[in-house]
Amino acid sequence: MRLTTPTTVTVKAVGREKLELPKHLFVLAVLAIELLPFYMMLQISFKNNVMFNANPWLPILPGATLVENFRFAYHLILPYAANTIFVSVTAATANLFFAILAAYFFARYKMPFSNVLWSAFLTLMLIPSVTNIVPLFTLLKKLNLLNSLWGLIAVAVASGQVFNIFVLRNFIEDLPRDLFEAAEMDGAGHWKQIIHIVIPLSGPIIGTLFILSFLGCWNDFLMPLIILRDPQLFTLGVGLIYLDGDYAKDWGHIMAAFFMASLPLLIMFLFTMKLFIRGLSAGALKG
Amino acid sequence: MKRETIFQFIGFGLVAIGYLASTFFVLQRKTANLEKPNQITLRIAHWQLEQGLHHAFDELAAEFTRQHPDIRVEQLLVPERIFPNWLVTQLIGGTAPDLIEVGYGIDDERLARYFVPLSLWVERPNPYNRGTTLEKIPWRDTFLDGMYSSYSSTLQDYYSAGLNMHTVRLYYNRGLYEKIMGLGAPAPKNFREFEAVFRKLADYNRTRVNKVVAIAGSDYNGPLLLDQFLSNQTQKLLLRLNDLLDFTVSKPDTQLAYLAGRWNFTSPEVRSGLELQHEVGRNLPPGFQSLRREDATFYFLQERALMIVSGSWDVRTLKAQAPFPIDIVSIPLPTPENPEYGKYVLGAFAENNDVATRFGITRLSKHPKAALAFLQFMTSQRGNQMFVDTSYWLPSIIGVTIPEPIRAFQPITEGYTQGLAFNSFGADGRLVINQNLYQLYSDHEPVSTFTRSLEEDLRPAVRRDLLQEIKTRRHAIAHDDTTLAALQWKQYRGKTSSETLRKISATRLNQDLMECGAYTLETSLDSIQK
Amino acid sequence: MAAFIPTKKALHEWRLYLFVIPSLVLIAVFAYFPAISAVYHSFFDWQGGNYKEFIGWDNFIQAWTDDVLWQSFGTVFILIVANLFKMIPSIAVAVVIHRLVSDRWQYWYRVLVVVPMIVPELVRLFIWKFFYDPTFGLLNKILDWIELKPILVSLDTYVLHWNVFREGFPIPWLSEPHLIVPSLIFWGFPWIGAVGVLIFLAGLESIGREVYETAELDGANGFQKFLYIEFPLILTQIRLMLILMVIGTIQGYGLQLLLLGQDGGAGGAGMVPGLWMFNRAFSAGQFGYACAIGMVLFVFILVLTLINNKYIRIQR
Repeated sequence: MRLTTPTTVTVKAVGREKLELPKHLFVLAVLAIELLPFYMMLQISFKNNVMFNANPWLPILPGATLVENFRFAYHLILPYAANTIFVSVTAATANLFFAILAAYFFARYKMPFSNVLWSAFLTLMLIPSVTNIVPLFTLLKKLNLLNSLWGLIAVAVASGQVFNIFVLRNFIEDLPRDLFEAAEMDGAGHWKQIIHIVIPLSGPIIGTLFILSFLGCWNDFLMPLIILRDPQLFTLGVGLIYLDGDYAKDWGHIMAAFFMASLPLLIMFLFTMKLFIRGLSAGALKG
Repeated sequence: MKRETIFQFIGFGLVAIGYLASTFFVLQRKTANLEKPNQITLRIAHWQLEQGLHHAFDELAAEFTRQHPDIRVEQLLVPERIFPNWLVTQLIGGTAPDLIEVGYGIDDERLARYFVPLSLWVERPNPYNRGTTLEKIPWRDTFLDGMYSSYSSTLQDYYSAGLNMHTVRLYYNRGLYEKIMGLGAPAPKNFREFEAVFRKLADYNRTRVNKVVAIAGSDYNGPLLLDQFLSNQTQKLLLRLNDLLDFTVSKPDTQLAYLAGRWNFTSPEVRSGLELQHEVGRNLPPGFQSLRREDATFYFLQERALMIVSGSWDVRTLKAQAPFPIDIVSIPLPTPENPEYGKYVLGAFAENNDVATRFGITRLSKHPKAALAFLQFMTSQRGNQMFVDTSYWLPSIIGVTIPEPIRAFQPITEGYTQGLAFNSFGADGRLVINQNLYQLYSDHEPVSTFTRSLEEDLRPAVRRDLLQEIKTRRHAIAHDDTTLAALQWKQYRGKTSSETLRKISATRLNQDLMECGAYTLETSLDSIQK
Repeated sequence: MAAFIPTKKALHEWRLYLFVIPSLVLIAVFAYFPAISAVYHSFFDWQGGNYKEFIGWDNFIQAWTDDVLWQSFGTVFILIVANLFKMIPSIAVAVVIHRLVSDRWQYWYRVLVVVPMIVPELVRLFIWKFFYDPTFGLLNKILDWIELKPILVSLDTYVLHWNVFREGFPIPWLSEPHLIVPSLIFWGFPWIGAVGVLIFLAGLESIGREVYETAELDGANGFQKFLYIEFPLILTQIRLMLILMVIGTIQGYGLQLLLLGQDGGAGGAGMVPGLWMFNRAFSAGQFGYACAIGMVLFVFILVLTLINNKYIRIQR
């Protein structure tokens, strides 16, 4: 399987435009509903409760309320966002680093015990993570990882291993063997082969897996809710739950905070959208 | 293609920059926290997210640090909804803060296991009362309730000390009320006038697009109001259950009486209470059981509800955020004179002066002495006055003056006993009731449907709760064994003091009482089974 | 294919094992150890502390007679069936996007499909919760606006007898036991999963334009084209998403926890096995019993996976 951009596969046909309009309408309608939460979040963050009550639907011109809402959101979200970025990026990077090493091992060599080890990974797919949560909690307690960002990172790295190794192994196996053999002829060691062959050739897939791991971490709220105690350690997940727990709600504040919480992802996707789409579209996760 | 690569580089570059900044932020915070090596940090956790409350705690903390520069106090505010889960996680995880608000998610078993008993200190004066009228008075007797609320009758010990009292009142939107009832209309004084408000409001709504709900409701504010009606109608019933005529019918007593068939949900008193709950409950927004406390507050503040029932704890939030004048009155419950509902009623309740916002010291605390000091500081006359002045909450300590804005909440101390409530049941029993409670507010034969739905599941649930109660007491006995062993080992080593002897005999007495209670419960349960 | 290294040579190449050891250690500590510990502790009366008491099969006997647990399995089964249907919009959108002639539009629609991913899941969850609000929520306002409410009211009066849709009263979506499961099912409408759509599109990629033209010459309509051309090609992807969905649904409880609370909402109607396990552990403090519930869940997932492996094989 090779990565290709959509343009090279399909052959253009002409003269069918009249059938196109309903398709466009369908996709647009579905996407419009899908994007509704985003729209609501954005427009409510411009308002305070009184304005929202008078006019819940339509956007209004930005005013002093907007500034007020976003000032609140900025102060609230910034530390949470910093924690979340720290945890998510560290976890995703470590996750992929270890996964690439292991995938390289499994894809390139058939060592004694490698079958046993491979089944050790595959069996893990059968064990539901939800059954582990209670003992995992006591384990973290013994390891002194409760109320610590490292605890979150450790769990996230471990839980992402199987999936990433699985996908990467398939991918590396499909890389042309000649490349590796040529490199070996030149006296390149395993590290060199990984750095010069595996990583460049599987760039999009690694990028895609990175984004998926990152998103998994970013969106998680159950583990942080259980692990973290101190407010200064909170990730966005817990922080937003705490915000939702206030007794008197100011929807403008809340939506502005939600928007701020989305901002890092917005920026990241803005720049890596193509890579992500290409990685997934190329059938990376065929299974 | 080229542009795309540049884009990706910028993207990952931004991620890298964000990451570096975040890492710097995370790591520098760690060192910043260790800046003062000689200072210890006390952590105090509570769920009081009401406006102004954390300022009150901050003030107390600042004043305390001024007196003890080596101690810093940090607040952990946890939303009520996740507090029980949060608490169990922290207790079992060993990361529990030093002082924790007791009451929500803590049963006797957890108290016994995770909290420090305070009996040693309650009989000595609170050192922070030095120079006041309470200087020589034991800590226990400086509380308005004599620390009654802090005492666990099952565990025979004091596990907490509280900051304030609470009473529940009816808040109403004065402007809207006058629009509906006429200018200068007085507040409803009894149940009939209360009903009249509902009728007038229905007329008012007929001509309006945006309907006004009579009473803002939620899973929280609803029961605050409605439970009182059940309690009101069962006053006489509860007296009947009080065999010893000592005016205390404990929760296990009520549950045993239920199992023994001495009362049930079809008893006329309970039925009348449930009917009232249904009648009044219809004036809350439909589905109020799934609305949250903050939704109810929002309804009221947005003038979509005429009234809201809440405690003195909400005065600050409501008065600060409402763009309209608010009046506060007692909930108009039916009195004995009421022709329809007066039959089972004794009269207005004496409001129990239970002390709330009680904090316990966890056994996991690394600085129990400092924690005790802060607790005593908060419950000293000066500390409590400080707290009350900022929070507008009712004080818990003798000699503290009530601030002007909450005079309407001053507890009524003279009156009759309260009756039954849903929370007379244990955890499982309450779960069964809560899961079926929605039927009480349906349109079709609400009361009978509700009581029928309880028939099958409630009895086994109550039995389970009582068995759990027995287990809890036995656990407490086993727990005391450890204490006893430690004390006797001390005595054996020849370090006998009168204090040790007193503790040994008190602990033994405690165990006997526990055993007694557990045994009585067990035999009663057995006899009911037959 | 992987290079075969016999045992003799392996001793020489032992360094290769170092590549797999970090991952192995990680999963051994954070996945296998907890799993084994869960099996072990399911036989104990354990409240999370140091004290525990062996009680044999008692936890499992309790689970067997636990009505809440079995009801929660019923609920999760309904949700799985519903999620099966909720996969259709993703497939439909993928197919329609693929059928577009213009590559440019195809690309831009992919981008638009991905855009909702920038909203953190939790934010989506809270916004949807806000939509369901009886008085302020979007859903009730839309129902009033398109005048669907009277239809629901008469449906309730004559067919359902749930007594939840009433004229003049906002519909309490998340507080009526009858409505909780429907609300959970409707949650996330129109159920487009960005990852799903992109993966389906990847599967469709291999269909050339000429295949469609041949089909059109044979007079195939839109649905026939789907059935005979597109569906077989994305079958692998559909199976993959199916497995992920089933496992995700049966384990999931975050949505229920935040939307309905730890008791599963009114009447416990939204209780799912994962939430019940969470509730028993972190609310009741019965860690041993929670582990036993986890074991029951594990057996269910294992059986489902075995069925899947036997009948719905994925070819790699």
